[in-house]
Amino acid sequence: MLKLNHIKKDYIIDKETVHILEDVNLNINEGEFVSILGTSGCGKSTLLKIIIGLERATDGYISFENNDNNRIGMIFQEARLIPWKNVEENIEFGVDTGIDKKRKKAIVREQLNIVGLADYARAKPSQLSGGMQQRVSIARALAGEPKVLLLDEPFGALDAFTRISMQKEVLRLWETQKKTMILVTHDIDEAIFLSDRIIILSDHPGVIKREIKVDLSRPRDRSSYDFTVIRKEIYREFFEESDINIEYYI
Amino acid sequence: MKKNDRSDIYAVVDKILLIGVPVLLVILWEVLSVAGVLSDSTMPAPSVIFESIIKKIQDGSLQIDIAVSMKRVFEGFIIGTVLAIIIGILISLVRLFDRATAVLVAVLRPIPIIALLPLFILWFGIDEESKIAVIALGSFWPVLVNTIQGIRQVDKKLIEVAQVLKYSRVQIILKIIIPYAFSYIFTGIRLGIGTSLACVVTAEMVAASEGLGYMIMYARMMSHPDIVFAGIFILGIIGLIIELGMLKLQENLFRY
Repeated sequence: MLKLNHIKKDYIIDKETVHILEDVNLNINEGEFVSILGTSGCGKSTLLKIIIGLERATDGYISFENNDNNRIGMIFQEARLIPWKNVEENIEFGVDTGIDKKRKKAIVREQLNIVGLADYARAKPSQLSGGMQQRVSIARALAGEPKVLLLDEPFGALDAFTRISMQKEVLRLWETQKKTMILVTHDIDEAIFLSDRIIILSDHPGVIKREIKVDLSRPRDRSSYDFTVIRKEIYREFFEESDINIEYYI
Repeated sequence: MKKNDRSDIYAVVDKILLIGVPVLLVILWEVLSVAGVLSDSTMPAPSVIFESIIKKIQDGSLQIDIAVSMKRVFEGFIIGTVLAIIIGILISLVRLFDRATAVLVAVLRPIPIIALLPLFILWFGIDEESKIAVIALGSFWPVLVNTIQGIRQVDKKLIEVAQVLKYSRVQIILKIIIPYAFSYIFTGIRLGIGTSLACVVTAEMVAASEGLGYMIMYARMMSHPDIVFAGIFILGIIGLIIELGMLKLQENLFRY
């Protein structure tokens, strides 16, 4: 579906070169759910921005199968809704401008139903809770009918309860809509709960440290033994002590 | 005493202060005038001022003066605002344009607009054009400054959203940047109308044969202090109506 080849990113800060990403190679298959896990500042968000074209890689390139580079959507940490547009109009903003009005309305209606906000079509973003706003932004991204959806810490700003229900929501969307999803997160449980594959990125510079396949059936039980084993395995990548209590999690 | 009673009392006190104080001042003024403490030639009684307003309405001259002044404000204001929005957008979006005008704006903007009136009369003649030019410039600066400010304040995160959704640069300007700046531009427009009003009065005092500024100036020369007061009072009312209307409009336009 898409392939990252030797992606390198340097920033120049105060005339000094800072290596953000170093030789990142990654192959993402169609319909796959991949998480990129790392500490903050490790360059994982930059990686997403490079994939979608908001930033340019210093070196390396991304290859897309059959022109799918035009079919990528992105969900940010903040909902980033347009404040003067209501829910409906915000979702419509995500629909391709070339599509005729009638079809547009139908897409918006469909997305409103998918994210369960049909009753809030005319509400302004400021009238919605954080979770609802994020759902609108998901609907807006889906309205563009992307094949790949990039999620940049989309639940980071939500409270724990909303976060868990949104994770379930995204899982449901992934299962029903058959999109390829790439999630950037620093929440270990979130990554295990959702992904087929977890890519662990180290920091300074960001290189792929490890790749962990999550071969558990969904929906996953966060307190199951297998889940805990994977959690421990990931913990070891971030913390040197190997004897972390298996019961301890964020 | 219950809390509710107390807030009721506050509400009543509020109303008394709000309306009572101005009314009391007018009554005091009237009494002092009738008693002869205040001179007729400098502080005519409110009743005399009111009478002369009625008289000027009856003979139709007040309406004409108001209409003439408002027409000038409107024309100048439209020209100034449209130019300011266009130039403001260019300055804030085109770097070359910003560099080319930065010094000009910095030098020209602090000049009191009234100081330019003699120059404009020289350039455009004593008729309408010079007055409209002054008024246009009066609304130009506040709208320009606020337009630039608004566009520079635009939320970069919204622009990223539009970029991700493959909107072109022109579409981003039209759909995100300008609507975002609109609330700032509107504030500029509100301030601009105020400046326009000040400009029209001054311009009419210097050179005109009609309009509220002329009416006040002429009344002073003819020793009609009641008409001087009448003109000032009318200007206050017009300013108030415009301000309230604009605030109401702003409230309705930017309810988010």
